[in-house]
Amino acid sequence: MPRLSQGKRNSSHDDKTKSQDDKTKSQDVKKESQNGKRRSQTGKVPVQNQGPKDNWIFIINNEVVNTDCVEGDLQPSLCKLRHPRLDTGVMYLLSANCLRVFEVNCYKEKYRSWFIGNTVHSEGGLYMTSSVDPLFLVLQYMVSTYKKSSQFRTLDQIVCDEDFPDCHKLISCCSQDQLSLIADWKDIDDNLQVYRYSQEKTLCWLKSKTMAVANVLEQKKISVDVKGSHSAIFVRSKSASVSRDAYMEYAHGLISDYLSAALEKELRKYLDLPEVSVPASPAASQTENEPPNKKAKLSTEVTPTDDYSRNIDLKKDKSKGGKLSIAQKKLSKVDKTGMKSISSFFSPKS
Amino acid sequence: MAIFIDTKSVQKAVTDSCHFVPCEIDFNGEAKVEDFFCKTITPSATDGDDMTAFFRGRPLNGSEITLPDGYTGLVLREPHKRSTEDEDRTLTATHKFNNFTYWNLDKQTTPDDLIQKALQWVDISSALHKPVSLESSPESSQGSVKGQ
Repeated sequence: MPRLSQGKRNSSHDDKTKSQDDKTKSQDVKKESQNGKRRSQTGKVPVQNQGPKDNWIFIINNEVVNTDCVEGDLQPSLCKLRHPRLDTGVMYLLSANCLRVFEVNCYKEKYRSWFIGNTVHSEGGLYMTSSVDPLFLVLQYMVSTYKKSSQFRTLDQIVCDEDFPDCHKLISCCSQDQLSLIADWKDIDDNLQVYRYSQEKTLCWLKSKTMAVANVLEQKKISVDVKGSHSAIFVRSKSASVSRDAYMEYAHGLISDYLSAALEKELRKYLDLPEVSVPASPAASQTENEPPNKKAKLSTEVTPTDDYSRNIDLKKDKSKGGKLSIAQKKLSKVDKTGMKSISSFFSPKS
Repeated sequence: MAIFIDTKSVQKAVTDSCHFVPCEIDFNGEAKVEDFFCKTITPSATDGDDMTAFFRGRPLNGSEITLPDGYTGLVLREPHKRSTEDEDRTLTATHKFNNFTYWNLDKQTTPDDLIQKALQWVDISSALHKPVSLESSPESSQGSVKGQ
């Protein structure tokens, strides 16, 4: 997904983008989660072909840039790491001391530019960096190592990726305490621990995450109605009736953006969420949360309001079965037996 | 290959007014923004936070957006173009800001604007990515066992 300036998700948001962008997904691109909830797209960091005038507008956590300590040449860096969901390389921002990881989401709309002071910047994207729990990035390596062998291994044996050599920077991001939330571990000596993936612990850890996200969604009254389009202006009043399950479902979708498809399914089972159903019929999707029927009408009757062809049909109907004048009614009652239709006099003789 | 952000340049970066305008401008560089755009900005009569302005005769509706606590906006640029693909790159900051004005073309700004969703994501993602504390996790595991 996103690289800083490329052009990216899925998430336009796009999502989340993203993509937000794409992100556009952001938005463009990251996979939009099944319910199309992810708004943003993650942006990609531009890798090539930018002219000297290229600028990027970043929104960055102060902890990353306000490091007063100038320890040697350590600077925050953007590195490509394997994305746990997409399984491809995505740009992440690492703090100078390599203790924190941030994802970069690009929010881009088609027609946007910046005025900064007395200058114009045609690059109209906004690169938002937000902290990522490094366990999500390490988890994929834990799982793949465990699949190969159930032996305990040290972290640098586990987090090792030929395609993305920068992944070793993740090792310093994860404390032993945090790793123990997703893996069984043993002490070899004070400085060396070995780990083995534990699905049970991981699901438990993911459950706490899902509940935390659902809480925030609920507090912020974020619309999680995935059944139709929504507008902040019109939807607010009914948001009170959104059930806890809907928030959990939505939170599960958000978290799944950081999980492999297999783990996403496991988590769904673990949380007792219903299986994703085939898109329901329009009638079935009308829950009590839906605003009154306007939408249903729109969806069943998609014809234009000005349909001139319909008028023509109406006229024809009139001539056939519509109102008849009094004289016509009398005529229709006349006994026609033995009479030929007038048109028969004009047909070719056979 | 990594891309570094020069933190020293961040300290020196200047703070300037920022406007996020709803148009695509195929130009980078100096322009008389203060003279020709900022002078058209007038606060809205009905709502104190909203503003209106004109750009090339088009009406714009805007509102001031403050970045979430703990975040800084930076304008980054790459002063030296790298000569090879594998070379490390360094981005330097030229400007920084803590708030900016978001403009819509003839439409009030609403919480549905993309920018608001971007800011919303900060709240959600901090919940999603906050490290789970060791104490809370055994509790939730017990809960889950009961639930099943």
